[in-house]
Amino acid sequence: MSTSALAIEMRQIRKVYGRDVVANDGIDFDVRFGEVHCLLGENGAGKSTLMKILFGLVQADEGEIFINGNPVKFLSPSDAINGGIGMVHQQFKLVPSLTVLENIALGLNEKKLGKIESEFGRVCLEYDVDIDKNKKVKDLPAHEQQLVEILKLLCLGQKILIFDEPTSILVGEQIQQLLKRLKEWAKMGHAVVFISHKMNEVLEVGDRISVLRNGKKVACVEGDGIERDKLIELMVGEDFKEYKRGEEKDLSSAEKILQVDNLSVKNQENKFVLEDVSFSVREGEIFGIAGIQGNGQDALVEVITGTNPESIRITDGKIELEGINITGFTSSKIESKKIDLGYIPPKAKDIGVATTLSVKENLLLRGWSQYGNVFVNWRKLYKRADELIEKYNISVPSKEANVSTLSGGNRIKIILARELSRQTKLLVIFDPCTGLDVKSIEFFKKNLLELAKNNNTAILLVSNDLDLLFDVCDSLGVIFRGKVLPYQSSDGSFKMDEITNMMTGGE
Amino acid sequence: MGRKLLSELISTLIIIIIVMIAASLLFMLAGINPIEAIRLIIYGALGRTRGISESLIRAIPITLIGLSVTIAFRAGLWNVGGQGQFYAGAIGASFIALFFPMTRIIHLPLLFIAAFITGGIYAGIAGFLRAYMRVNEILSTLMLNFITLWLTQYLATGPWSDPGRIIVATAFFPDSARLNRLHDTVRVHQGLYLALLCVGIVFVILNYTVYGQKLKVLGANLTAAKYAKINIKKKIVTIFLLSGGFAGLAGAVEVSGVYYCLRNGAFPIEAGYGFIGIGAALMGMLTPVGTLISAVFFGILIAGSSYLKTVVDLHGHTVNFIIGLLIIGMVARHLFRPKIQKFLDKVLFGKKELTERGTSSGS
Repeated sequence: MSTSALAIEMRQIRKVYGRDVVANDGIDFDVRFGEVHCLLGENGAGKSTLMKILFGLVQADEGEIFINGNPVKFLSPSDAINGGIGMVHQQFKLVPSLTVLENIALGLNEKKLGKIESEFGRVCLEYDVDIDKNKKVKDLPAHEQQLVEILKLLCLGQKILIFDEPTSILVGEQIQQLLKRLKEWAKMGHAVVFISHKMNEVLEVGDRISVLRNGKKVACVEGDGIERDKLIELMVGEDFKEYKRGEEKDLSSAEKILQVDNLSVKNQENKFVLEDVSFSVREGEIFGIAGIQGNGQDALVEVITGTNPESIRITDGKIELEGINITGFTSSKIESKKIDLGYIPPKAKDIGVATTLSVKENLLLRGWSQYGNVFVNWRKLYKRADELIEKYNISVPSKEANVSTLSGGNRIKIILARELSRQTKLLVIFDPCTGLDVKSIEFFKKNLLELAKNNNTAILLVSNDLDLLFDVCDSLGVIFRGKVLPYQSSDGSFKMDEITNMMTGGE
Repeated sequence: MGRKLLSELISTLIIIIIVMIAASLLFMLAGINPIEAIRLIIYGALGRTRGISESLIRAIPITLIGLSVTIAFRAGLWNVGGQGQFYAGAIGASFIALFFPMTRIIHLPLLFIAAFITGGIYAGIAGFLRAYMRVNEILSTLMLNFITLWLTQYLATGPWSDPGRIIVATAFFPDSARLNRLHDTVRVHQGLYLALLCVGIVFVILNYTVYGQKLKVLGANLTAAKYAKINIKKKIVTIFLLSGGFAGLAGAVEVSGVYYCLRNGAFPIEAGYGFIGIGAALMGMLTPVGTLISAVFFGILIAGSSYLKTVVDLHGHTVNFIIGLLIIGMVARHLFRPKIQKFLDKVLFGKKELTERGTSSGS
C-alpha cells in the first residue's frame, strides 16, 4: 500500500487563533489512496482545525497543501469539493423534508432527475449500499441519514473522503458496519480520513494513525502492531488510569431511592413512548439503561425529572422518589416537596446551561436554595465556584464570562460540576460523555463511582455508550421501543453482543 | 466585560450618528441649518435651568417604562404594552386621587400602589394569556394598548370629567395627591426620586435575588428554565405583573406630578412614552442604570426639540420622526447584536475574536 500515490499532503500547517491560541503548530499530514488514515487526538488537540483548513473552512497562517501532487489553495468548501474532497460532518447537511434522491440531487450539478436516478443506482450497486431512495430523510434513522450524506459524496465522484467523528451517532453493530465499509472503500481506491478520539475504532480501522496533541503532531504510526496503551499515552501525553467499578456490591438490602412502577407514557399522537416500564435504583447503586437513541429514553428521564414537554403525558403507573409519589410532577413541583435530584440532561451543552448567562450564574442553576431563598449569597457562590472550577478542571476566562464563549466540553464540565457536587440522593444522567475528552471521561467515571460508594447516591445512567456503562454500572437494563428490559447476563459479566442484540430488538 | 461594554457603546454611538445624519437631512429639507438646529436642541435642553427641568420631567416616565421593558425583555418576554400599562396606572392613580381624599402621607403612597397594581394586572392579562393559552405577548400587549388609551379618553371626557374646566379633563387632584416640585421655579417634581429608587430596586432584583436569576434563565432558554426547576407559567405571570407595575408607576407620576389630573390621553409625546421606553431600555442594554442614562438622553432630545420648535418654524412631528428613527435603530442593534459585536471585535481588537472557543477548537 505504501506504493500508492499521495492523495493529500499537508506540509507545516500552522494556525493561530486570536493572538496566542495555537491550534495547529507545524503539522505534516499525508494520506494515500487506498488507505484509511486515522487522525486521533483529544478534543482541542487540533484535529478539527486541520480538517477545516483542508476543507477550505479556515485559512492556514502558514503551510502548503497538495492534492494529487498539485499545490492548492482552498478559500472555501466549494473549492475543496471541486478539488475532489468530500467531508462528512458531525452535523448532517441534509434537508429532512426531502427524499433521499432529492437530497442527492441537491449536491450535483446534473439537472435531469432520470440521470441522477441512474447514477444513484449505479453508485449503490458499486458500493453495495441498500437504501430506499424515495423515503424522506427525516424518516430515516441516524445511521441511514449518515449513509445518505456519504452517498452524496460518492455520487459526486469524490475520491478523498473525510469523516469527522462519524461513530458518535452510532451504536454497536452500526459502528462495526461503518468501519467495515470504510475499509472496503479504501480498498476500492479511495483515500479515507477518519477523525476520532475513540481508541478501539482507530485501532480497528486505521492503516496508519496520526496522533495530535496540543496542536502538534506527536506521531504517525502503522495501524498494525501498535498497542492500545501506547496509543493512549501518545494521545494524552502521560500515564493515566482507566477507572472501572470495583467488586460486586450487595445492594439487596439498600433502600430504594427511585422506584418506577408500570409507567406508561403517551405522546401527542397518542402513541406509547414508554410502555409498562418498571425498575428501581437503590442507594449506592449505579443502574444503567442502554439503548439506541429514539427508543423512549428522552421521555423516561424527562418524566422522572419533571422536565417533559406538555405533549408527553403519563397515562399509567407511578414514580416514587425517596418514598414520595412524584408521578406527573414538574421539576418545580418536585422542588416544592423539598426533595432534590441531580440531573444531567440529554443535549446537556445546550439545555443544561443558560448560554447567555455567566459561568457563576450557571453554577447557581438548579441549586437555588443552596445560595439563599430571596437574595443570592454571591460570596458563598464565588467560593464554591472557585473550588468547582479547580476540582473539575474547567477552563474559563473568568467566572463572569458568558457560557456561550466556552467550548462544549467545558460547558459539560460546568454541568457535571454543579450536579455532581450537589450530593443529591438521586442523580439522573443522560449521555454525559459526548464532547468530553478522554481525561475528563475518566475523571467523570471516577467521580460517579466515588459518589455511589461514599455518598450512597443512587445513580440512573442512560446512555448508548456501552463502554461507559460496562465500566461503571452495577446492573443494566435495555430500552427498546419504549420498554425497559432488565439485562441478565449469562455468566455474571456484561456481554457486548448480548446487549447489542437486545438494543436492536433481537432476543 | 470591558470590551463588551466598549463595543456596545460604540454601536450605540454609530446609531446616534446615523440618526443625526438623517435628522440633518430632514432639517435641511425644512430649510433649517442642521448644525444650528442641533445647537438649539442642546441649548434648549441643557443651556437653561428650565430646559434641564423639562428634560428630567420627560426622563422620569421614560425611565420607569424602560425598567418595565428591561424586566420583561430580560426574561425573553416581549412586553410592548408599556403604553397601555402607563394609562392603566394613570387611571388607577387618578381613581385614588379623586375619590379617596386623605392625608398626604397615606394618599400619595396609596396612589402609587394603586397605579402599580392596575398597571401590573393590566400587563398580567397578557402574561396569563401567554403562560396558559400560548397567546403571543407581542400581539396581546400591543392590542391592549388601545383599550386603556380610549378608556382614559372616555373617563376624562365622560364620567370623571369636570365640566367646570376649560380643557376636557378630570378635576384637579387635591394637594395630598400631588408630587411636589423640587423648586418653585421649575416643573420637575419628586417623581425623580421615585424613578431613581425604582432603578435601584430593579438593579437589586436583577443582580442580587434568586427571583432575578430565575428571570434571566427564563430569558436565556425555555428548556433550560424547565430544567432549572423554574415554574415557567407562574414566573411568566409574575414577571408581567412586575413589569406592568413599573409602567403603571410612570402613568402615576405623570398625572400626579405634571398634570394633576387625568386628561385626554392622545397627546403626541405622552402617547409615545411606551415606545420611547422600549428604545431607552434597548439603548441602555437592558440594564437599569443604562436605561436611566438613555431615558435622560431621550428626555434631552424631547425637551430640546420642543425648544427648537419655539424658535424656528418646524412641524411638531419632526421630533417624533427623529425619536422613531432612534427607536428603530436601537431595536435593530438589539436584534443584530451578535453580528455587530463580532464585527466590532474584528475592527477594534485585531483579526479574530479571542475567546475561549479558540483554545479548544477541536472536534
